[in-house]
Amino acid sequence: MKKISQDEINDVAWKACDTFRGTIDPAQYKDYILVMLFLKYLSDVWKDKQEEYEKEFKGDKERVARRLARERFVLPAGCDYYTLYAKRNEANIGELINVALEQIEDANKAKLEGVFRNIDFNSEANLGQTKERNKRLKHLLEDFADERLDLRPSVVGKQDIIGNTYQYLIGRFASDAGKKGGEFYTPGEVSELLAKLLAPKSGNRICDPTSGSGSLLIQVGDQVSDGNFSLYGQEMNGSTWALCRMNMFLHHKDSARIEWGDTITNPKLIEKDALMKFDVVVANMPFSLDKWGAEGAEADKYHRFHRGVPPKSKGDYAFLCHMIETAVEGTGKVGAITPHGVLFRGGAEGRIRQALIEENLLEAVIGLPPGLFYGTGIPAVILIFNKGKKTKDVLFIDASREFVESTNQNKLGAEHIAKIVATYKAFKTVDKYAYRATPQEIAENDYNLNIPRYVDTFEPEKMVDLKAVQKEIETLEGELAGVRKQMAGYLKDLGV
Amino acid sequence: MKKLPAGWQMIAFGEIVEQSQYGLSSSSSPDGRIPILGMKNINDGKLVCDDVARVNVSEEELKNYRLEAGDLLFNRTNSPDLVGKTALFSETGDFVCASYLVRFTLRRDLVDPRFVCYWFNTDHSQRTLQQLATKAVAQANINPTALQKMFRLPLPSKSEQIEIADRLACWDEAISGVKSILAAKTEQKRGLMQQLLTGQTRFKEFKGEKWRHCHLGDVVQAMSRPVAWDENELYRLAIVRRWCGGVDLRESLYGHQIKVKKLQTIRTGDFLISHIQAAYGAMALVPEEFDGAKVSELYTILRPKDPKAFDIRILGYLGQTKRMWYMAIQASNGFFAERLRLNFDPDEFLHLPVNIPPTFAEQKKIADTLEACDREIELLQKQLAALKEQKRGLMQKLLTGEVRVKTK
Repeated sequence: MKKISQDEINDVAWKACDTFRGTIDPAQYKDYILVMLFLKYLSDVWKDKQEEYEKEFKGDKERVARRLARERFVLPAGCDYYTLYAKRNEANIGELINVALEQIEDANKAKLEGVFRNIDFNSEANLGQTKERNKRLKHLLEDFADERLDLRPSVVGKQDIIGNTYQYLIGRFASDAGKKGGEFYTPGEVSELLAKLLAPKSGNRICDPTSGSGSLLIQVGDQVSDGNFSLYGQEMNGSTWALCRMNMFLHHKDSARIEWGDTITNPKLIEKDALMKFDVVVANMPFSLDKWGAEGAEADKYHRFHRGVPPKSKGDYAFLCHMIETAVEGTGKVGAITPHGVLFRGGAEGRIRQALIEENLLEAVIGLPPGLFYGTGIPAVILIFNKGKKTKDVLFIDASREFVESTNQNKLGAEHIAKIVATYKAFKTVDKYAYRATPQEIAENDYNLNIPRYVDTFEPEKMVDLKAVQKEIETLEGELAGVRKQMAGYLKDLGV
Repeated sequence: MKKLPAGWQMIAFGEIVEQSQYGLSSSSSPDGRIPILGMKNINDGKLVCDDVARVNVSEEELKNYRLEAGDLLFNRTNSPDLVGKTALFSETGDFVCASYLVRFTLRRDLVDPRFVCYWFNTDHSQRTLQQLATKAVAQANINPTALQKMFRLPLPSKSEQIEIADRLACWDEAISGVKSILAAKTEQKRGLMQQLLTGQTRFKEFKGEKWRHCHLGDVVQAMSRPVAWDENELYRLAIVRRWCGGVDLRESLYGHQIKVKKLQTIRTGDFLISHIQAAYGAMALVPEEFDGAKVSELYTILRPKDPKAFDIRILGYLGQTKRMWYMAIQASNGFFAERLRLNFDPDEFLHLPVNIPPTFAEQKKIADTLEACDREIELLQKQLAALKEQKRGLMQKLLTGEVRVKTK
């Protein structure tokens, strides 16, 4: 059977966007598309199982039903995509879809509760008045009937469908929806890099306080080879949070605890009135977030900002401080993707940076190539903090020049990831690539962490062979003298 | 045009064309075997073959399209300023040309192709060709059939054509000779800078005393010369161009025409660094003709702390080296990439380490040596311009028969 490619799924999703275009904000209709994609996925998995068991039990309906009830999730009768597709001409199709989703949620309370809370297929505000809305929903159902879109596990394999499609749609809408919502999708290979750098171990608690669609969290978890780990996340945007839940479900991370809310002003991962602690904390935070909640920082219940309050228009250090506070004392590790500004900006940020260095928490600064992220050419850095550092030195890696170039978006190749990880593990200076700096050197630089101050990537130019050049000049002068003589002769002849 | 001398006749270009053919429209590929000439290979009436794209063509195509020495290559369609450019193919080996070039095979019994090519490259002809072109938005086009009919050229006997072409070729040789010397002199200066500005090679009399390893800020300091604003004064605004481009005039504006009312005055011998373009080599010494001009506040002005102890020209030459451009990157916060702004930090720049010749006398001798190189390069450039002008003059006279050459 031909495997469906991500490009084909993207193609269907993009076509489905046409159904909505012009009426509602892309930030909203991507949710309709992704929910429909999720429903289609559930239905295809269910169909797969149903066929398998019917074959196994030779059509014994009762035994098939009993077996299906013990599945990871339950798709109540009549709630699948195909039933809804058959009813696509009904006058109350919006309501029918809502009811189906509600029943799916009810039947899978532990795993899917609240996932469809933010989406209303019968919304007049989002989808227009009845006639228009019905037409639109009919189109949407038909778009997903595309026969290429067979999402059965036997066809799809282990692809990150929701994550990738989400990334694709965010990318297409990056100019508006992505940035406006402060949402940045972490490209797969950057997640992979961060996961490998942090190398979580068996039994670890892993957290992403700005989880987005959850792809980074899943990648980090998958680094634990025996599968013994637990995932925690928090996401502010309601529909992205729902996507994250769906994504966890798709990746069999059923026990992941993903909370909805603002990590800074309303941290939800709390244990006995204190912040929960994690062995590994990762985040691709919203870059330089404006209005992150500075006004409440001074009186923060969890004392996360004791090193200083970051400027109210730049939330980078607020997230970093939160992450550091939630890492287990003595062993916890933090890996964050941040903009370059955190390396050198002064004021409160400079003071927090200095404190973090003086407390010997900062372990590595890694400069990434430009253009890795959708919709922005802004280059990013990875900061690694370690509460169990064995040295006082900090490793700087300038990985900005090694990447696979492409027109829309640059990529990190497997060899680039491997080189960064190996360099970090070795923790040694590598000519023109990495530098192990002492705390004194960093202090001499006024705690400015700008990478070129540490990693010298200057390529000296080739030396000119002065003797050879002089010889060439002499030969040329000789030739030219001959030509000049001839010219003088000609001019005399011409009498001009 | 003046009356032609006896024995010369005005003919349509078509009369001396044996065959015309459009080039190949195959797109170039990195693993292509056959060099394909395009517009970028035609420069000033000459073929420049040091950077040629390559294509894959079949044996059959190669047989059909292979250029022959003496073929005239004519740019039939391109942006309006490039249409009509013409060069003579005189290479050996397999070459083809791109489809927007027309290749004319000339009647060798009637003409010396060099003569024809010179004629196409006179100012008069280039103007005529521009007029012949039909212009679309950004494209102009000359139809080869129309060209053959409408474009005319004065033709002496073939032996006179050869004599004329020989003389003009002599000037071409001189021009390319001076160009080569100019390139070699530029390379020589670069080599001398590498040696002299690092202390790798030193003048005999200064050997012994070690170079001074210090911070840039130990020898120079930043200056502030804010302009007392006057809405009615005409300000001469200067900028520093990237990559050794030097100081250049931007425009002159009255105070009331300028939005950001913060300027600084520059003086001869100031070393200027553009904050925004520092990492792109926008740093230079202010020459005399810009004394008193104004720059924006996003420039740092450096002057020697003690003019008797530090010859600022040394910094002027250091500012032409990649090492100093890299120092500008080190002194900038942010990420260095095209189009992305860096925040240049002058204090940090002055804090970076440099190696300086220990005595003023040695600094002066180094700067004098490099200045001599600069002057020689400048003179060669002037000579080149003069030779080109001389050739133009000869073309005007010789190609129209106004001045006749002696034929054997």
